[in-house]
Amino acid sequence: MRRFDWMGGALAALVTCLGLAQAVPVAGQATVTAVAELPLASPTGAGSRNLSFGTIVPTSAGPVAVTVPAAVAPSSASVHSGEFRLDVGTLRGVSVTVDTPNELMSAAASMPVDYNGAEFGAWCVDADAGCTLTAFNPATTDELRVCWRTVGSGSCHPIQNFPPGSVLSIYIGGALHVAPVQRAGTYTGTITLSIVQVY
Amino acid sequence: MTHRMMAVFAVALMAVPAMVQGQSTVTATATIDQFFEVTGSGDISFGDLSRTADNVIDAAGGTGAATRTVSFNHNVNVSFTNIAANLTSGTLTLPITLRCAVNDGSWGTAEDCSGASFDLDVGTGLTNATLGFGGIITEAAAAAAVAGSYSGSLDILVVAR
Repeated sequence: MRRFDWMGGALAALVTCLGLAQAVPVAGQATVTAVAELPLASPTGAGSRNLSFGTIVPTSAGPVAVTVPAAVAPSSASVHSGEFRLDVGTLRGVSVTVDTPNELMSAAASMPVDYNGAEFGAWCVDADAGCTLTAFNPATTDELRVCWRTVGSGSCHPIQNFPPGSVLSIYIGGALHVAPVQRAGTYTGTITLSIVQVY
Repeated sequence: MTHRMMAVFAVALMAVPAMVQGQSTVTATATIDQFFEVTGSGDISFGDLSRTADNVIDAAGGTGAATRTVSFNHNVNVSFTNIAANLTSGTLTLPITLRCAVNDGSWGTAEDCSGASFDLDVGTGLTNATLGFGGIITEAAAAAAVAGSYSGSLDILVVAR
């Protein structure tokens, strides 16, 4: 009889638990979170104008230095600085490096060229009024950092970005050293500009 | 605990924005125009002519020969025009055969200037070649001529090729 009483108590407890389980609402609810990273826009752009020293009439009198300054306007139809145009809209800033050739090459000869001078490098952002040029020396500037706004340390401002559609223009000139007398022909070299977004 | 730390680390990596970069190029170009010049001075000097033997000056570096230096930065052809067939002294004449040669590293064989044509190839830069000038005045021509001082000339023609 006592045993019966114990089992009866256990059964009663089980029924109670079942009753509690039936009290939970049948309807369910869950949450799924959508996650996406939207990187800042990639700086895009391309070289839009070649650096051209034009046609040089050689002389046997001595070496000739032919210089082309970094300028927006061409010196003539055949003499002008090289130009890169880069879309920097919505970026905080960019780091730019310019790799320049030491020689221009023809099929059978070469000709030294250098870029050592503040007159041979310039940049501007067309979101600024008038796109005022800022000079730099391509030969001594390892990295050109261009920010829309800077903080006291010189770093790019962390939350101020270039206005959408802003274009960074970079102009590269140079000094060509023509030997007396350089072999006739067309000489070329490649200037490569690399740009990295600054975070 | 270990699992939790790894999860946090992974999330931190994902939060770093990807490196964004680009590269573009422009071409630097220069054109060097064609150039050549002929320099030098001096005459073909026969001195006193012999009437008993042919008077010969080897254009290819012989004694008495004249030279000119032609400098060029592109391939050229050298030929000769207005070549005197006779030296003159007033109205007097003395037949001569002018001879030409070129040294673009070593002397080539001399030949009559009237038919000579030399193709010269440029090296990697300014290239020089030497033109040599001599001639032949035969024993017979000298023997038949009146005594006097005779002279004549030719023109050098350099054209690009």
